[in-house]
Amino acid sequence: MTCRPDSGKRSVIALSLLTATVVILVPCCLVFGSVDIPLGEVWATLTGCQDNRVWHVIVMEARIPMAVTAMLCGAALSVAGLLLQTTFDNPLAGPSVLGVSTGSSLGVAVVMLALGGTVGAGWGSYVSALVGAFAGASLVLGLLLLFSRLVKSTAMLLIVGIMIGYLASSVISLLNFFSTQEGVHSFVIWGLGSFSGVSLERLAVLAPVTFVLLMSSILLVKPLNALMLGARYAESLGVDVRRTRHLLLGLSGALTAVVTAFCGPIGFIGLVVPHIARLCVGTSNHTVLLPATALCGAAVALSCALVSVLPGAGGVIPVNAITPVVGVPVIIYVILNRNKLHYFN
Amino acid sequence: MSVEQLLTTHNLSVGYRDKTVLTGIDIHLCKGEMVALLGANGRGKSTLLRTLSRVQPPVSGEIELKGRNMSSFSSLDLARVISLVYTDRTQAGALTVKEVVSLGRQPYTGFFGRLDAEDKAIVSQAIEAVGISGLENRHLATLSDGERQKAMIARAIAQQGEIILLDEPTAFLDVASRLEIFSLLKGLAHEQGKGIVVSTHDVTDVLECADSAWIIPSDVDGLVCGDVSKLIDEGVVNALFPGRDIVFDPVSRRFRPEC
Repeated sequence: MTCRPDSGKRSVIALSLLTATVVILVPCCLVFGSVDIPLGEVWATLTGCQDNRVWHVIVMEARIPMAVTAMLCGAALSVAGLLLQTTFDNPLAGPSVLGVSTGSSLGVAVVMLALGGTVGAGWGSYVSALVGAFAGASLVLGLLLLFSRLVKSTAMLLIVGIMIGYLASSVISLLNFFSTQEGVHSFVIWGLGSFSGVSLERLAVLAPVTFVLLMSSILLVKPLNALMLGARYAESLGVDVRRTRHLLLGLSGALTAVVTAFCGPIGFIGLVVPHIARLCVGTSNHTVLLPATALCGAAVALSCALVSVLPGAGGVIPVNAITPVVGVPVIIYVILNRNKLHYFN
Repeated sequence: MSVEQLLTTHNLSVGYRDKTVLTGIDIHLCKGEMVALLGANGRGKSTLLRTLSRVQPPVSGEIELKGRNMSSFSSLDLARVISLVYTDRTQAGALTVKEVVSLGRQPYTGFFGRLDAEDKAIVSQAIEAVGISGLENRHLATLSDGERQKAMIARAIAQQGEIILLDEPTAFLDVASRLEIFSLLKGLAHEQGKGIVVSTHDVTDVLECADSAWIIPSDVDGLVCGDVSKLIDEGVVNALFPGRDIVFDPVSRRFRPEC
């Protein structure tokens, strides 16, 4: 018998451990990179006592923005994934699975390629990329919502999402085909996915937007828990399921769009992290699970960012080459053990 | 003696845009009454329950809830009067029994769903009422189907509605759990004064416990309702499955093969 009178205690321990992991990973991201800067020197830089100009620039203008970006984007994608999994009542949903990421990419592609803007320069261009990404994500989510009325089976709905994703990719390829070489080049670079392309001034847009969206998702914890019993039970508990669904889809679309606009399409985190979080806290009570997912997402993204700078001076590995290495084993583990995992039953 | 009527329908028709399933329904559910809703598959039991819980609109006619037209209730007010129990497996396997039952307090709790001392007491009482007190901290996934369904009923009790509608709560359950659930429901009706409607295919088991029945016969249109013994005497239960080789024996109160 698995009696757990201390499930509350377990949540507190898991949340503390996750917080500690994030707190340890952040300084690691500041220390390691193309040049390793000793922890003491990083501290000196942060406290304003650094004499080495190069180190000062690296820490303040490259590594801190990267660490903050990775933290926020990891949390954002993971929470988006969790919201989608609960909304669609399917633990294998996620922004990249349902085509939401590809939709955002399409929006960015339209802005970058068709309208001739580049995400590199100026305020206007990345705000327009952000708007494009959100429009693309909304388009896909709108289509999914429409199909969810016609297709009752959530597994079939996932396949519809994958198909919509393919359609969006094919439109992106077409846009690539018809656009200029420079446009294609910068789009391909963006499409590799990276937490390191966000400068301090762009972070000034990314950080508050992501933060507000993450906080808003916490406001939906009560209806999210009701949805664990399924839409029919939630309705009988007085939850306006339609409105809640729209809010959840809008929120997860916005979270995915912000990350995609700034860091490119980043796969797997949104699908995998909610599972890692559930395994950590051992509950699907969103009061605990939602913050755990955000923390876990931050930790996973920071780890991926760390691994991406492993070659040191040799260059940076694209994040999208690392996330599947983390993600695929977890998903396969989850699928193989779904009969033993409580949250699947 | 007048008994308080919780739910009354006036010439109600239920069904869908292209197909009316049942017409001319005039039923009432009283305080402290347990009603068995019986009918062969596809005759409209679930459709009727969905309509009575306002999940789908009536085709025509009216539903009166505690003396008010049901359409005048906000969804929150309705959640405070009617609780539902379905057969569905839920995604709630990683929630504890206590957490699931606590969800029943949602119509009363604030924005974040935090429980105060009173809510917590109501949740414990509900768990006790269905007899699964030792299982409070177990995950739903570790329970048997019968215990799981009891947890869902405890959630319905914690919701404190005067009416509990149950759509085939005993499908998939073994005979022991079935009888436990039905006698539990009877206790809730008689001791706590709830009005309970339970749809089921376990005709003989439910008739042991129910006070009255709403029967959807296969050969006539509409719904026949009344006291369980009276319906048995009039042969209405026997008419549930016409054309099949079974008869209902009014003495033993069971179906037996026709020979």
